[in-house]
Amino acid sequence: MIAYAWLVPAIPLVAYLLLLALGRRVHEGVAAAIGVLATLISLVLSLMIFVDVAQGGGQLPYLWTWLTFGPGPGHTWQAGFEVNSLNALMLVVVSFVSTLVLLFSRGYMHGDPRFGVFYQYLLLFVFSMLGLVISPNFLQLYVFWELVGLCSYLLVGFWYEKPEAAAAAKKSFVVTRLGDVGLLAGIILLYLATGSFDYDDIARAIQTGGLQIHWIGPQGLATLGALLVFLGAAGKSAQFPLHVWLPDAMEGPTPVSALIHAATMVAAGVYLVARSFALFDASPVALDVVAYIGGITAILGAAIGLTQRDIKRVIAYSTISQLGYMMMGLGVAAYSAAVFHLFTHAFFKALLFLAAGSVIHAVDTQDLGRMGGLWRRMPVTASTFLFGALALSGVPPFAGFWSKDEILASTLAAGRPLLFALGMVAAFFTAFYIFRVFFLTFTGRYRGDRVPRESGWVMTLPLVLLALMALGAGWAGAPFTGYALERFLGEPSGASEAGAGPGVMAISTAVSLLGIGLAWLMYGERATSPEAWSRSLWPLYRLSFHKFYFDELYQAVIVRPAFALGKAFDWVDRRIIDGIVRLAAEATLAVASGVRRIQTGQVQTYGLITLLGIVALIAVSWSLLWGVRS
Amino acid sequence: MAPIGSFLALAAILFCIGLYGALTKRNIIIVLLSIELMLNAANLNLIAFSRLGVSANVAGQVFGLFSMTVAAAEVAVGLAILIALYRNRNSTDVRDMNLMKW
Amino acid sequence: MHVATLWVVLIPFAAGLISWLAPRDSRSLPRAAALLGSLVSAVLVGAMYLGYDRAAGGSQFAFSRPWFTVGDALADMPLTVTFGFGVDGLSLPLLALTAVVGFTAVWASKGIRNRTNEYYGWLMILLAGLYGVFASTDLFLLFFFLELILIPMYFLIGIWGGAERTKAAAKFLIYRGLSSIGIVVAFFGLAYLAGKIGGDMTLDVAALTRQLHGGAAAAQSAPVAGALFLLLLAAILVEEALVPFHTWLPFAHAQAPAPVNMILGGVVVKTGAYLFLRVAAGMMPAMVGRYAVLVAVIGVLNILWAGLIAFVQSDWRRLLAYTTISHMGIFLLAAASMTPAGLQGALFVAVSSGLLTALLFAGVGLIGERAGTVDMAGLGGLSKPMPYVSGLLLAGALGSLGLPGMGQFVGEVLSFSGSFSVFPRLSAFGIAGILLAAVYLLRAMQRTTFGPTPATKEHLRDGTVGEVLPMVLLLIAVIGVGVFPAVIGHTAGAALAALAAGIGG
Repeated sequence: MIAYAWLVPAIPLVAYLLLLALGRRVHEGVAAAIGVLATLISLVLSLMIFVDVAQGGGQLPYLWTWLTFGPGPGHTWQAGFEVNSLNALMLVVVSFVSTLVLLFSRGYMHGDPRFGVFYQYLLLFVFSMLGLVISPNFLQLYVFWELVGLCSYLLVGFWYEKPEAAAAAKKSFVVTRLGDVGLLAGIILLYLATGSFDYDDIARAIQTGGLQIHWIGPQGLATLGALLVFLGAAGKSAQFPLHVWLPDAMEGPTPVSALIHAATMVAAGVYLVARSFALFDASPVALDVVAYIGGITAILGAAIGLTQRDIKRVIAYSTISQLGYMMMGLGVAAYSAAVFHLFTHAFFKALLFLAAGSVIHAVDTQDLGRMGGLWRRMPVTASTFLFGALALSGVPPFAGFWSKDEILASTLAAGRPLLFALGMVAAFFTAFYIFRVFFLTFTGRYRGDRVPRESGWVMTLPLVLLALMALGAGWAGAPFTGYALERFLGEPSGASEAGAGPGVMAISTAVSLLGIGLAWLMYGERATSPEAWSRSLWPLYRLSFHKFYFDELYQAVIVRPAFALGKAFDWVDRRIIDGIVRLAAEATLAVASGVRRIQTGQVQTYGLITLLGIVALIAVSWSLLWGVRS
Repeated sequence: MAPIGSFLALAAILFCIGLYGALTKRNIIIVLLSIELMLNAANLNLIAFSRLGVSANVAGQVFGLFSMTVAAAEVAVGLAILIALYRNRNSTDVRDMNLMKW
Repeated sequence: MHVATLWVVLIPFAAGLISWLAPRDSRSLPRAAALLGSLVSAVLVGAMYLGYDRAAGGSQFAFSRPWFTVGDALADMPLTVTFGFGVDGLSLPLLALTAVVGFTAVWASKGIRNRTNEYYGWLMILLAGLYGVFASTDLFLLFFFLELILIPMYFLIGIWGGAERTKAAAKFLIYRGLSSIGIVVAFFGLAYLAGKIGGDMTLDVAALTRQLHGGAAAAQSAPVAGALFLLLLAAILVEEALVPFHTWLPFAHAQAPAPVNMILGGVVVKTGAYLFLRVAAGMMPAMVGRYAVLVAVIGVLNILWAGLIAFVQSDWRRLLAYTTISHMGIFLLAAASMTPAGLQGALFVAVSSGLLTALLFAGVGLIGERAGTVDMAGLGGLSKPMPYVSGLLLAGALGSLGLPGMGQFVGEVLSFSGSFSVFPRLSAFGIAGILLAAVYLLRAMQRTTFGPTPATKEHLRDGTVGEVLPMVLLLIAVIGVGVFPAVIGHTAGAALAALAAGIGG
């Protein structure tokens, strides 16, 4: 079965091309049917591959030559695919969430004039994401890495007539591109050092000390390469300080947010670090950077999420924060814990987004201030959202509890109490903000003006399936199943295994419940007024509400100076460089207009000058000859 | 037989007179006449060299004849241009004929 | 088939003459002749591309006759000039580029309505000249065709251009004319050098390459070789429109009609790239090695300089001009490394940048025709009325900023693989240019096709199938190069490996 793994991305690609051929006026049902069917087939294939891998199927990469550009080794690019436990798991996650999102979109995007185009883009994304996952080397990963970025760009800007959407699309592409440039540089560096793009070749080179270039030592090279690769991962996974694009990307349709900006593409950065873990493992500095960036991101995202008024933005900041947890886990070498969290997060975060989408679809607004009391009107949506919220908060026995605890326990095991503290505070914030959203949306009095109704089955069925996963996905890695998932993933060298002890479990559960309780007091019971809190803590509130002024900072420090520089260069170009050119032209003209006065038009003048010239010539040659003779 | 020097001197004098006329006279007829004078000075030299030159032979006389023929043709064309010009501009003054300036 | 290269040059010429002879107000005959001529020559180029024996390498489909000899009187070193055409791995990709861009540009010329017989006549002569540059096997002939290009370009800009067309045409002519001085001096200097080193004084490319490579290194490093190289480099900078000799290009682009822009940005600018690979790198590898840092610095300077200036352009054509300049900066940085990867990357960049520039100019031309302006300030929301044109324009912009799947990406990865191995610090600056490209191209797209559609632009007609065909063809070509890079890599591999080997020996 593994030899046919290429079919998994190929089928969505075929479906994409099919829809492309059918054009943009295709019937909604046809487009949706093609899309869901294609992803469903991919899902089935992925499951079969997963089973094969679990039974110890072959894991050799299947390669062929893509480009040979010179004689000898190291002058060949290879393409192909490979399947191992990590990407077999990713295949399942991606195709599962994709299938549900494509089904959900049938209802959510109903009536959009570009419905068919939406499905085209989604299928292109699914193809790219699956391709990314089974890439056997950095170069091919980069190809798909950019393609998923392209799809994200297209889908965020899907409602291009909204200027905010257009700006958000560009921002998302450019900010991730910043990371990608680093990633490309890192890839090229590693390639120059080892003569291969292949993950395994590079890992081997690190172990055998074959990693070097003439201008940098092996240790420095490992650190530099790892940091550059991490730059790419940080851009894609919206890690501090490149996180600014993800909240803006919420301008895209909500199914896109669920699929791309929660479950799959943004997790690609985590996947990349996990896949090239051997490289990071070789550099303690790089690991520390990953850990602390992850920790900062986790708390930063959660802190901003506390005060946002847009339902999707809260969940987006939550995504940033959770991705931070994963990075933190990788940074303390808790490889399988991070991947485990990626796995559970994909389900409950996609669930939260889709449930939010169902709400937005019903009330036609994203403003939390105009929702409320939807529990009775949208029972399925509300209860599934609750499942997602409990999973996110880390309440046992929901999925998020097991994976988050494992990461937190690993930080302690690695001797990083600071990171542990950051994670705990972030967990408290997390529980608070998600239940703030829950209470504001589903309890109390309805503050909107449109009569909300529960969504149809195409939208609620995905919610229910994801809710089941949000409940049970974590059991795969829980102590009572013997950490089955962790054992399946295996541990790459150096990574530590740390199950969460009962102590950590108890503390984190208490913290979560505390957060939920506070949210309940503020927004459920209204026992204490949130306004009073925000007034008394106003500097912190302002910081959080304005997202710590990152956008303003970047605008002032990067964007405006860059434009000023561009303007200045343009001025130099037009005035100085072209000015010199024009000066040369003007000088030539000036000289010519002076000299042309000699041209009188009188033949007699010319004749006279000619005569004088001849006489002068004769005189000169005469005197010269005279000199020779005497 | 007079020495070649006197022929050459005469030719030189004629040439200088012609050159002076061609460069200074305002009337275009006189300029044309002066040019003929210069041409004839050259002819005189050709004839003189063909008779008294270091390697005297008939080629000089042949060239003289050629040159006279060409002169005749040139006068015909030149006068035709002059008449056309006169008809156009009603003038024979060379100062009026300066269309070819900058 | 045997002397196909000769026909590739002659057929567009013939088509041009037929077009000239057509009645002044005739539209269909000149267009038909030009389409047929460019198509047949393109097919011929395609046949040569497929038929080229990659294992054997070298110059094939050659046609060569002694033409004339200079300097019988000097006797010590007579210079025989041959009338020689032929293709090798280096010229084939550029010939193919010319074929594709040439045909699509002719196709896209439907909007030209005045003096069509002259227009197509000049266009085809331009095409013949470009084919000639890439197919010549004698530097004299190459120079002849390089000069020949100037004449049709001058008239195409000067007659069918915008408001300041005559100035733009004159500026183009003067710049390229000055570069020609450098080129001709360098060519004859090379011939002289080759004669001094040993063997005959020659302008034949293969013989020159052999003699200058095989000759004593002492002669290569003579001061005269350095001076010749710098002179040639300066001329190439003008040809490629590189900072600081670049200001003619934005001006010419802003004035020329769209199809001429396609050829100008797509192919004419790339003649400089060809000269660098063929003459500078091919015949004076030691000099490229000696001045590598200088060349690389110029390359990086261009990437960043043009990238930053492109930020603030609001005229699409000026923006694209700076895009091209930035791409040529990557070319120079890559080529300076003289590694197999760098040289391949340089060639990929030259070819894909040509295809993408042509694609973008075709789209911009179509938008200009419909909307009446190509200034972004007057555009917006075009995705709604013109979805296909907008989509193709976006594809071109994405390709241009190095999206995988298109040739430019392959070129950039190869280029930076080459340059990082030789100039790591400079390349770090150069690679930032990739980010700049994303910023300015996406900003331009955002201002043009995204956002609310102004009422005046609501009812613009989308491009018809016939109108978008050139863009589709170019897109297919550039995706083909991006997905199957072996198309170029396999063809040019041996020729470029030989260049890279030159510096090692």
